[in-house]
Amino acid sequence: MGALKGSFSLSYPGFALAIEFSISSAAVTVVMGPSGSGKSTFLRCLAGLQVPQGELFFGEEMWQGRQYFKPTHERNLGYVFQDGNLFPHLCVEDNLRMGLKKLTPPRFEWDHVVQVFGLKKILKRTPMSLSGGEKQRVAMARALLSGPDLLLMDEPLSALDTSSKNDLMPFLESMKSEFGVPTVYVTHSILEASRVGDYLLLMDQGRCKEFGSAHELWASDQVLRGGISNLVDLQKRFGLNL
Amino acid sequence: MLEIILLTLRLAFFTTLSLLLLATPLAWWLSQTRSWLKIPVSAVVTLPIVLPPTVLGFYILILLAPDGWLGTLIHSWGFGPRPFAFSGLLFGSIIYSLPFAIQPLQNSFEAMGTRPLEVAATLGLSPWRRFLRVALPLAKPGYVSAAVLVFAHTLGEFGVILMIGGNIPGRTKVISTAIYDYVEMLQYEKAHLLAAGLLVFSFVIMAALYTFQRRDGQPWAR
Repeated sequence: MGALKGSFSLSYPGFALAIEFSISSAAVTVVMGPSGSGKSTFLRCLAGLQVPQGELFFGEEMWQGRQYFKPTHERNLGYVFQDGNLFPHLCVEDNLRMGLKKLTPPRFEWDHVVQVFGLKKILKRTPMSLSGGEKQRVAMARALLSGPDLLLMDEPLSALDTSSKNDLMPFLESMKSEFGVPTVYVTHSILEASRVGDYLLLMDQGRCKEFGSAHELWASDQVLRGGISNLVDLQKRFGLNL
Repeated sequence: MLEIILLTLRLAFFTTLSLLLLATPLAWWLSQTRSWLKIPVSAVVTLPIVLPPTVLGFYILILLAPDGWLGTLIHSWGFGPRPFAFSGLLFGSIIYSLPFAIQPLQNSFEAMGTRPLEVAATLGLSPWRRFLRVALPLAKPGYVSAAVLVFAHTLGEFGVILMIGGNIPGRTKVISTAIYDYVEMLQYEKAHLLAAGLLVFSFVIMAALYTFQRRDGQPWAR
């Protein structure tokens, strides 16, 4: 599977995104940066939920060109939003089935996904009756059951309390180890980034400031050449949380 | 009297059914569009609320007349709404109650926001499937409100019905025009019977609507 690469720009009053990137599509790339740096907008552009100007390729497949735009539903991706966003008129099981495609065999087995995310006991419950952590587990499972080639996750733990975050971290790690879907993961949290990230893309003011191996970043204090010498600096400069 | 009640219920039922089908695409378009046409179209759709029913009825009558713009077409097709017939009443009722269907549906579509549709798109649902499987079910409260309001509004129509239908017994005479006739003929008992029946029925369905809205008013789950 090739890289996710592109170059696009988008601007509206008070904000401009102008980014050029080439991300390995065989790992988890964590996107970090201060609030308003354009992380979520970048993710939405990758998904086709916003339409920037420029080009975007996933491997050999063109998702966007000068006169071509592949709509979101035709890009084979999964998207986990900040707040789960389950369909309130459907029970958990029907929410999960919403993304199932008629693939034979399915990319991921229903039973396997349900078991990994511990959803068997809540399949018949409605979204209103679920805790924040349960909603996010359902949202992650739903995105995986759609059999995506690329998974986009927009601060999936940010709306949860510390206890729920801690409970959910193992599921995130299982997601990576059990299913191995290339992922672009937006977060403010260094802890999440260090536990799931293979690569790190740092954004500031709508631009890519640094991109590199997360392993090298966490092992060395010289990787980020923009004057960032250690984690404390990283926190200060990019407004990140541990 | 039973004939009058049945005709009124038939008119209200078909007006409601027709409007739920016809208003859906228009309400959806109004909820989604950023076109400059939204304002003039919204104003036209809302006109029946502010126009005197006789004005609306008068223009619909002219439109449907054999030498009218629509009437000429109808004559050439051999079918369609005709004045002083049930089809004409139905046509007039649809126009008259249009805002009572459009507004609840448009409000429901707007209230759900874009997020549920975005989620559905990321799950691979085409625009049509997103509409059927996400937008329509989430707009259920709007459909219930629209159905109740249109039905109740049609039951109480008077001016438009009189102008287009002419109050012909067995063909176009409905409860509201019958009450007028009974009062004119000083048959107050019959007028009371129909008027009180309409009052109680309208109260019951409005109370049912508010009960439903209170019970089903769940927000888009986050």
